[in-house]
Amino acid sequence: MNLPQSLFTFTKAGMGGLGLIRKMRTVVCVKQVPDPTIVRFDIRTNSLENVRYITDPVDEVAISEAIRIRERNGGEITAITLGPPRAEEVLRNCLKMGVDQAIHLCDEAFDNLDVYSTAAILAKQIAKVHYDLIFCGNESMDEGNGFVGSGIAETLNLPLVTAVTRIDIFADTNTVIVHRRLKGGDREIVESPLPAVFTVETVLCKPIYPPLRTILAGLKKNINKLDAGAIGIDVRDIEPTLAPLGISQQKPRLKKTATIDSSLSPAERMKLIISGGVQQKSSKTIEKPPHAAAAEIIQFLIDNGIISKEKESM
Amino acid sequence: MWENEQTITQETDALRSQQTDDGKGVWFFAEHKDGKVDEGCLKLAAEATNLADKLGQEAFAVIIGNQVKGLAEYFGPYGTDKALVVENQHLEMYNSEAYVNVLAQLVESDRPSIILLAATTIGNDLAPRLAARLKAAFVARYTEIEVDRDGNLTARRAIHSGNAQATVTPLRKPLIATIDTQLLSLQKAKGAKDTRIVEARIWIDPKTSRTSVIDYLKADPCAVCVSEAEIVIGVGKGLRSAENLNAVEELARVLGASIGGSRRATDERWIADERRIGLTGKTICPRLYLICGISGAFHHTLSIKGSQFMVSINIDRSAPIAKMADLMVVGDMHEVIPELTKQLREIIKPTT
Repeated sequence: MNLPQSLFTFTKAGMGGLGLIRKMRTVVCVKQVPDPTIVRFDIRTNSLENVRYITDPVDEVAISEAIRIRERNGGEITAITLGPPRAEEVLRNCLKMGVDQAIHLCDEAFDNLDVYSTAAILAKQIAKVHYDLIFCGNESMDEGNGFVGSGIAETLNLPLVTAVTRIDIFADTNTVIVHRRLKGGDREIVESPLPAVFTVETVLCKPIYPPLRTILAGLKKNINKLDAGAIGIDVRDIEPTLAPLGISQQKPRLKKTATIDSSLSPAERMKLIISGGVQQKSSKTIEKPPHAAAAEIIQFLIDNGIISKEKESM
Repeated sequence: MWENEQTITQETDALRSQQTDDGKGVWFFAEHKDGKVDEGCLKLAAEATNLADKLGQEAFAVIIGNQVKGLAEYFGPYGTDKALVVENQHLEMYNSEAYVNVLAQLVESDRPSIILLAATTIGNDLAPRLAARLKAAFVARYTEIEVDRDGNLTARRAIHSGNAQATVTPLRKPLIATIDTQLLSLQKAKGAKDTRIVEARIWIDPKTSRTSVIDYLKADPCAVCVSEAEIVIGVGKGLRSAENLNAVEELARVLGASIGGSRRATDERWIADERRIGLTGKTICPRLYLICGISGAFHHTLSIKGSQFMVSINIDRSAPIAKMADLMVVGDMHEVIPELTKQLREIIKPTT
């Protein structure tokens, strides 16, 4: 592997002593999400049931990484969220983890925003804060649009790297070298100048367990609550890009139109309508001696393009 | 509450009518590697044709790279009318910022109504960024796009880990959407078309990208985390003892697979804790999941639904896993696996 150029400059600059290392100011965007493992859509009430709000796990990873960077380079961390009054819990959680300050963008006008408007409002406030690094989760647990990081980077005209699994900061040259997640565990190594936006993956690091002292200090800290007026934004000025039409029960994608055959029994017809005409997966059961069974498995793998005969395995 | 909903619909209608119907064509972004396009890309071409037909518009392939004109012929059978080609030596490798700059310039001059991208590592990076740049509507991983009689679009997508579905309508054009190509079927168009190549002239400054790719790390498929692996072998109670893992490891080396397991396998210390698949462990979405000696309790099966193909080797014909597996082999894994390794060795070289 070619050593990145900034690594050399780092060793040179290292002679100047640690005092030269610039402090890193990090902004982390966090989100409150319903716990996806227990939330259910109830067709009787047409709404979500069993909603218990948690901090998005990927955001906890982002906060933990920011704290690690602060331990190494010094600096400060700002957690920011946009959400209804209950989203304050998430910021309190961040403060308990050791974040220096928390900003809560909360206004009745912010209800039912689309992703573009959310990113625009967050960017507007972040622009007022001093920052070197901006962290977002790559995709939230609930909606998983994966837009906000890109939206902030484009609005503030900053470099952006998505799906980050490792971050190395070279504070002397003001650059960052990150690993980006690709298919099958492969990584791309990307160099970016600072300031920049990074959307992080959960594998970046393990969430930290803060010491009791930090937790108690976090309980005392103040959450800076800002409404639209304080941010200096009028929601009506932001043109939304999407309008929500509602949520419903998850339905599989239609593979073909369900033509109802009158020769079927009512139960079978109901089944066909509910499944949306999706063809059932063809499941095959075989019971053969090991030699023949193995041959059958290999044939299955070849038929489905998982291995090919001529070439090496993928 | 009701009033509120009504105003939203009214505003939506008002915004919709404001749009001038200047959408021309359904585009899809053609990902390519080593001068080839994969099956997912062809499925995307078919989906673009499908939507273009519903809208009464033309389907376009957008191909960006170096010497990529020849790729256009792949899309003819899938009904692609035209291929917009941007060739430049600085665009040979994917670079997020450079590609966004090119695409944004193309979209602003040609104004398509829909741009489709595959939800891959490239598509997931490119699509939201392009949408943010153009202030366009963005839908990630849609499951369906519907076109009504007036040509209005609505898109559906799964939210809350698939527990619910959201329906949205774009208020601005174009609609930029990504889709998991596994959901699509590979269907050829009714009439194959001669895809006409349109060379887009774009002024590109190669230095426009602030970020640069400096290296690439290839993962060892056997060591990689089960959640990222392309092929996963799962072991469970049927393994019986730690020594039996050797045979499985040998198979994993031949197949280039990562080994995971059920809670039983990690509790017995047969495999490491971080390789647990299930409710208390990792969620996997490989191309192949080879399930050895796992009966398929729901704690486990909840986390394996994303697998494209599942092959199960189990001694119990009535194990619940039989319902999920594409191929169920009734037999002893300790006999089948060595045999499978032996036969695989004859046809494929071990991955180094």
